[in-house]
Amino acid sequence: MDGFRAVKTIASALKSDLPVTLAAVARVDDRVGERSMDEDLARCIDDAQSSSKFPWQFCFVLGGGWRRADAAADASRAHGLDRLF
Amino acid sequence: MDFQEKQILPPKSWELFEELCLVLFRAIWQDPAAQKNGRRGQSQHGVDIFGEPGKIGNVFHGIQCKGKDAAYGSSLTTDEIDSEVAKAEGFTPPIKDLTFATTALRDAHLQEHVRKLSVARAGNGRFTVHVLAWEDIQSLLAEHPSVIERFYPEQALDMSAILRSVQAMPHGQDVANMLALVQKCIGEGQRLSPAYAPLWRPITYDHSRGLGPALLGRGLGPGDALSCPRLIEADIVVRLLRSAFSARLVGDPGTGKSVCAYQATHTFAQQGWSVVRLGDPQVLNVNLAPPDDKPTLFLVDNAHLMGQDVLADIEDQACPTRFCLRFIRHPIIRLRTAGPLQWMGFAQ
Repeated sequence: MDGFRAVKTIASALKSDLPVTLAAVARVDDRVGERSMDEDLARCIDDAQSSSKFPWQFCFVLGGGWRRADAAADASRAHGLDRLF
Repeated sequence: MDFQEKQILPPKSWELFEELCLVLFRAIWQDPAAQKNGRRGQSQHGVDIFGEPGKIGNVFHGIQCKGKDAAYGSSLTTDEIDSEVAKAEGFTPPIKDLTFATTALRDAHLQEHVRKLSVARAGNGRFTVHVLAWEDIQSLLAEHPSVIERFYPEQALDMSAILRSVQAMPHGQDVANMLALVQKCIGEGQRLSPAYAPLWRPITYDHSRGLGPALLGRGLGPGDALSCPRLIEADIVVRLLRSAFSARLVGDPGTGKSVCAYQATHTFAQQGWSVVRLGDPQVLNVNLAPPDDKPTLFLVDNAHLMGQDVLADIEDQACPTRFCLRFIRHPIIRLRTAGPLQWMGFAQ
């Protein structure tokens, strides 16, 4: 399997039908949308593609993975467990 | 019926009777060094067999074998006992006890004579005397199955012991567990129709959850794979399976092997093929024998957990109606035959 090519394939397919993709992405990351101050979905897809070697990374970034990771780190810090990271 | 309750005849010859006595008293005395006294024609001083019961230290006992019944032509008499006891006085070193082992039937008169003789001799510090009739010898034999097995093999069948052994053998759930283990080891489960299902699990594509699980990093099932954009590799897999009947999908974790495999196998499912996945990748032998004649695509996940011989055997069974697709998590491509096709991460 070629991770880069798979990422490119997935990104292209998602961009080809943005309304359907937005419905799915917005359910897991409410910062992405068409409202003012929302992040543009096409730009999110491009960013995820450019920073990912594998499909799982692409999905992680596009699905707001870093945001969830930050939230988990904050929760851990609040409990004094951030050193585990 | 116990051996003791049976009517057992003495050995046909005196020599064999003497041999029986030797083996029997070796067991009773727990003295494997007990032996016959000299050879025929030599003076035996009234002792045919001697040994050291319990090996307590140079304390010898003697046996005088007397084949005395209708078969041997005579009976044991008190005079004969007295005569043999007198002869045994010459045995050196002196014995502690002399036993007359006879094939004759028990005789109360003879027993009384021997008791009195033994008591009188013990009072004078001389060896004691006993007599064993054939019934007594048979009773002693019953306590030593190994001797019975040697001289009366037809009587050695101990049903009680056999029954105990059978009852001690694994049974019930133990046997069921053993059977399950054997089936797993030999991989013959699918030949026994009911066991086919646990080994090969059917794949269905009727449960799609959209892109959500993928975006959140959850494991993806066959239905989820159809929600994902179709990967180019899925079409390559379809072409390889149609031309070579088997294919290997190799890649790092997270590269989309499962999604790709499910997308490719879905193509065949739409064309009427059965798609099954191996339930346990650690089986030692797999037979691609579907329960019906329907074309079947066999999917092997976690193939890196399987032995190379097992994988090779699986692929050798692939044919126009039995396709095999395996995916491996390590980016290691092993080429097993001359002239294999290797193309962009695929090893055929």
